[in-house]
Amino acid sequence: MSKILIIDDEPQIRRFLQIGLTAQGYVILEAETGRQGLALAAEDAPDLIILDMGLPDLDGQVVLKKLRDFFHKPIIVLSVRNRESEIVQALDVGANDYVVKPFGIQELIARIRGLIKAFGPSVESVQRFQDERVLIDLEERKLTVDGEVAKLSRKEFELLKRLINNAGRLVTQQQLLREIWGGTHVEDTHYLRIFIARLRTKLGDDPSNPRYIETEPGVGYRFLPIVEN
Amino acid sequence: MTTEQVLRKFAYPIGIMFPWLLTPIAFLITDYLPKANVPLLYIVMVVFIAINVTVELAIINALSSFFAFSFFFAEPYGSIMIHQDEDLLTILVFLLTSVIVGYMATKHKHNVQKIRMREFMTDIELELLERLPKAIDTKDVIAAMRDALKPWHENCVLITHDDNWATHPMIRRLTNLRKTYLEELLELRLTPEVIAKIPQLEQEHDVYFLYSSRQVIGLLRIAAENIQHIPKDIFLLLLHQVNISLERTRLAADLEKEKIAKENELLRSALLSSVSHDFRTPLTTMIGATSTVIEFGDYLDKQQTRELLNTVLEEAQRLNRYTQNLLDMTRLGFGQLQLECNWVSVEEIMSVVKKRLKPLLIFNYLTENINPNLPSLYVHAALLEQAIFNVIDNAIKFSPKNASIDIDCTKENDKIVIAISDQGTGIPEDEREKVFERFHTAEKGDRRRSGSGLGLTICQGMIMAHGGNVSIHANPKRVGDKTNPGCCVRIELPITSQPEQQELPKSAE
Repeated sequence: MSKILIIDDEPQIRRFLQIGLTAQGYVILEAETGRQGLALAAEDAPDLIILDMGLPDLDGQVVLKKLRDFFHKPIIVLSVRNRESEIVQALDVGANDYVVKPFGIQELIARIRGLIKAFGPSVESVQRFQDERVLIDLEERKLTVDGEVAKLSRKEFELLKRLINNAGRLVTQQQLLREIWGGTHVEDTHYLRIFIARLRTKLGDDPSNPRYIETEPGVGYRFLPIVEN
Repeated sequence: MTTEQVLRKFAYPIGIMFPWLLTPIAFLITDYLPKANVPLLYIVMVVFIAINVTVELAIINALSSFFAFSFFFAEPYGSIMIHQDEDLLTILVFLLTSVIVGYMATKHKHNVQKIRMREFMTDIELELLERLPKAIDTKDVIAAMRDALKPWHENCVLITHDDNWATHPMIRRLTNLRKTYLEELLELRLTPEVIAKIPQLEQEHDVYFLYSSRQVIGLLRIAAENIQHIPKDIFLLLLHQVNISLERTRLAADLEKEKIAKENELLRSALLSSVSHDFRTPLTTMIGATSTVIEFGDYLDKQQTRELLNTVLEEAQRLNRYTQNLLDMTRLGFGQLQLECNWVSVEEIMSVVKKRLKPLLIFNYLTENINPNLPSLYVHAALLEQAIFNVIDNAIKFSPKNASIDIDCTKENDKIVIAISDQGTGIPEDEREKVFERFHTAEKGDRRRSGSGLGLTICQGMIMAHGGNVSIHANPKRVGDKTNPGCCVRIELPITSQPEQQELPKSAE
């Protein structure tokens, strides 16, 4: 049974999360302040943390940094809209995903499920993805669309591989640029955009009705289908 | 030294010597030039000197000519004595003529100077009179005056608050001006006695003051030496015009301030009434629905309960959108909209907008026509999404059931155009500007539809913050339809030159 730690100062929010997540079979721990949250995270080793960025005692970014000193499981941050820079910063510091307040429970559950599975005990690297149109074989480095094999350059493949390995989850621009092009290219987002556009064309994915690759402008990308192993 | 300076310095020696150079030459050609013509040559010299130097030197030159003539042309030759009566008469007439002509020439010169000066002043005045009515504020007026006085910069100086009054050399030289008055004036300590003294000060010291609402804001000082050349009446007229303009601009500024205060007041009351209505309506539903579930939960079947709870969710989301609108509106109003731009494609923006619109697209649907070759946009994505969302949200409110809302994105010259057309009741031409005003709604009072009247205002604000433009037009596809002509909202965004169009370096492949 997975343990989730909720760090949020609003009692009503903790209450409805507790009811909803318990009904889904999770065990819930609650903390009201950043310090309490850090203590509980250290003592009880939850499997996932939901962290509100607007805490009364410590700034959310500070709590996040301190958590990442010892906690290496997924963290979802709750943020207010129009604070993209805050979200991007949180993702850089180590958060895995974010949800914007106010949010519906389904959105949060979807994120939680994907992340717990990805960080779960029996995690293997994804090797394949297949649906009725597309077959992506990461081992063979092959992409087949509607029966035709499409060639992928080395970097295109690296990009697709990372998105699929994090299927359903957000991958930041910075992480992709750093890992594929190197630390000096972290600002060259146009490289990424060009390559994503190429992948979309090869996958036959319409960017305004994306089925495979979704853009979160200014933040990163998500491979939409949840890939089962 | 320039030729002019040389001539000026040696004017007197030259003036005296010249006849002694000219006359011998005349003497040598006396066979072709009878001696009676020589005085005529002298007259030319005299007039020249009278006009260009002084009348005194002209007379001295005349005398020198007199002696030269008697030396070379009158018997006994080689002496300045004159024996012949004829010659004496000639030269005396010459002297007399010289004096008269010299004075006339000088007088004429002064008159011409005066007329030129008047013309000059009138030109300046005309220029000033043209510029003054266009001046918007005090700065404009002072600038106009400074420009008008530029040709005079040697003779007069305009000192305003921005300059350092106390240390200006012109001020320091005003030793005649009673020190106390000067200080009071400069520090604007305008007591009634000082104000009463101003005309007298002006007269005594040729210092002129520029006022604005009984405050001295400038001081004009004319160098006394040149005062005789300045037609004083025109000058004072000029000054008067400037002072009138200063008064006018100040009144205009006060009027503007009052207008803004009034507008703010109107806005505040509109905001209060909007919040009151637009918060209370969803809250009424929410409180009503949830209290019903709590009180009568046992008597309701599962579907009814679910329906009520769905209503609560919808109304809460509506409240959320409204709150967001208000926040956006406030940020726009305070100029706190900081753009964090990123490169996005139109398709990516539309994908997010469509996701957010899903719960609202119950009776209507969207059609999309995006030109596949559009360049990417360099925008703050969340703001553009909100702007487009607001327009479509509006379109949905006014569209009949089963009507589509059409989105067309194209490139026109150097702009990207996103056109959103609906089949609703349309917006009459005279209202197409007004709909962008804050809190403008189609119906007033309790009967008005669920709209805060802020959506289009915010859309316009956000698009304009990107250097773009929003406008409303008739729906071109439904021109004939009178009941549901619909309308078309055009969002235009400038195209930023992008690094993407450049070649990817080989190293990036």
